[in-house]
Amino acid sequence: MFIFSHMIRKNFVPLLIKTLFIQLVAISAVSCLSVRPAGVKGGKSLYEAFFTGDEGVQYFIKPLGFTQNNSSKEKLYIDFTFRYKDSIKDSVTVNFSLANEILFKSLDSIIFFNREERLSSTKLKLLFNEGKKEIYTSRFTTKLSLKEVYSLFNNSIWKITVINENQQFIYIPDKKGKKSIEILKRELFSIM
Amino acid sequence: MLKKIKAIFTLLAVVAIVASCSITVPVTATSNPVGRKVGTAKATGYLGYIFLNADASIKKAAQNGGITKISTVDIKQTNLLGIIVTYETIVTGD
Repeated sequence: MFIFSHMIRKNFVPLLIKTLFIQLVAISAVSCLSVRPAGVKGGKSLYEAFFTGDEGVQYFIKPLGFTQNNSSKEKLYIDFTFRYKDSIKDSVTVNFSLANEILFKSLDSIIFFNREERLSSTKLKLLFNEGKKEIYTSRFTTKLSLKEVYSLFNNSIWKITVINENQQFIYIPDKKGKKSIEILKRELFSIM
Repeated sequence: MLKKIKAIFTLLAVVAIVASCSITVPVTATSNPVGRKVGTAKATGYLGYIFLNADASIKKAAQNGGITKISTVDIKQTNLLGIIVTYETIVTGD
């Protein structure tokens, strides 16, 4: 009897501890994943929403990454800010950063194309320039209509062309950018 | 046997401490309403101290958004097992 109870105690305590440990890790993992940490797939990590009262909700779509012919140095990051309440009628502030070996002090135009829609803007304003390790970052701002941006997010096959003094720079979304566009279409633009 | 129990409890404590996610906290709000512009700045740190000159300052976020009049400032901190920590400053204004 004594041997039997000793055997039970010998196996039971480690088993109990192991079970508690697995449960705690599982609970931590589930609670962590449900909060959606940054970097994990999920719409909320791709945009911020601010309640503005009568004017509805202001959305900020965090910078989406684009590359130029798979070049690791030359990149484009673009973000969108707009307000939405009941109808799609606001304008969208589009800010974008060009990381390039060339310093841009002005741009002629920017064209967005997704095989269904073609948007363009010639009213581009330079926000600032900065240089770091042979790469310049030039940040510009422009405005588009929300209706056009809404249709742009219909698919993730984007091509952005930046034109400056007869030079064209073409950017396509990187892997993460493509996925982000699809998630934003599904989780943000689908509610409009 | 005792060593094993101690090791498991230590691991339990570590898991409980480091397994956290993200939280957004306000830094400041002015009397201005939420501005029509938003800017962000991000800095990612590794092992708690390797930040590689990243800049997540309010100034950088405001600069990125073209903001000259700040309305609100929030900071979003994301922690992945205590190894990778990301700070994101979010500024609204005009």
